[in-house]
Amino acid sequence: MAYLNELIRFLKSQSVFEIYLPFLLTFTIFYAAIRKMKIFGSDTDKTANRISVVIAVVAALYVTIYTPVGIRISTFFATFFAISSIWMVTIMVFMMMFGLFLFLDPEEMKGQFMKKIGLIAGITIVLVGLTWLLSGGLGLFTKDLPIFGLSKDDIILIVLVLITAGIIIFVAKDDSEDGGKSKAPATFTLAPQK
Amino acid sequence: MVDIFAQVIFALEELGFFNFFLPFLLTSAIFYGLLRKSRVFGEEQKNIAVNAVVALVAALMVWGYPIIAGFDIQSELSRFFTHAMFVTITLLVGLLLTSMILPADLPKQIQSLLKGSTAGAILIVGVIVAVVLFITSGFLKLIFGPLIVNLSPNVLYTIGGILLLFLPLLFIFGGGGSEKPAEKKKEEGV
Repeated sequence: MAYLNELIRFLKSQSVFEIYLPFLLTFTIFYAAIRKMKIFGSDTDKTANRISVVIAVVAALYVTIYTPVGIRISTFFATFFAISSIWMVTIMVFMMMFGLFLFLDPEEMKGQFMKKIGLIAGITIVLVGLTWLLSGGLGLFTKDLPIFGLSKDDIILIVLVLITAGIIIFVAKDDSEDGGKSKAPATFTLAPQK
Repeated sequence: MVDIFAQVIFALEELGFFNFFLPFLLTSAIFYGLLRKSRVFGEEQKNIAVNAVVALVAALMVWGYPIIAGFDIQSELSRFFTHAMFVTITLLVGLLLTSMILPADLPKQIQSLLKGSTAGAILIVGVIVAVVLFITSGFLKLIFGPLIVNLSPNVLYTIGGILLLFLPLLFIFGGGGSEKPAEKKKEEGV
């Protein structure tokens, strides 16, 4: 145990968590994303792959010099992945309980969940958003936000106005989605009886 | 204890690696890649030199930008890529959590769900995230200069107020659109 502590302290002192791991993570994800999106051509094209590598390396190198004021990048990643793993374990236990006591076939159960995708997406957004906030993600972003000399009250007011506008648009869209057909009076034609 | 990684980063920063070399590399790679893919100058195998020259000139211009314009671009680019990374990681974890309770091959499952308004909503969210990334990284200052960043709250409120005044007009006149010709013909009995 003590050896592991020492090892982690040594790695921390060498900025492995602050520089090396974010570099590795950024490079891998950016490279995979650029290749998957085929931005520079097919993934069998060698030149396109080399260009993707260059861009991913540049992005990863830039991440290494990111020095936020309030929170360290390693703290964000460590907290974020730790909380995420807790959610994953929780979901795993939930699935185990569900499968054990309801005697459901795993694939059938997943098929049932697929029908409730809206609810699942909503829960996931809440969980991930919460994880992001708890890891200090908001602090990392708002620190770099140019707020044009606006006070906190001003920002809250703007956010409230935007939310209200969003609600109005949502409600108006809901009403007009059927083009007002549901509100139109029923029409019928008179035909002579045979 | 000597911190190897930090020392390397500091040494590279002192050399101007992040302010000059990496923007040069990034621009040349993007320009060359897109020129190849779009085939603006014809078949990519026959126009390697042309594509390379155009990409290099653009990259050299960007290389000189910090001196010519008097702006440092390393902090903006660093913030942009790091923030993009945060967003990507967040989305990735969201997908991982969802994949635990959904059937295998998540991309296929999501593709089957992305139809009509759902795809539109995701596109709008994507655009909003991109705009937020653009603003938080400080590119706004880089493109528009100090003019827009130094605007007073009063000016911003005035602009916001004018936009809000136009919103109902857009809502009233922009929503309906014109009748489709096919529907019109149907109604006329043609």
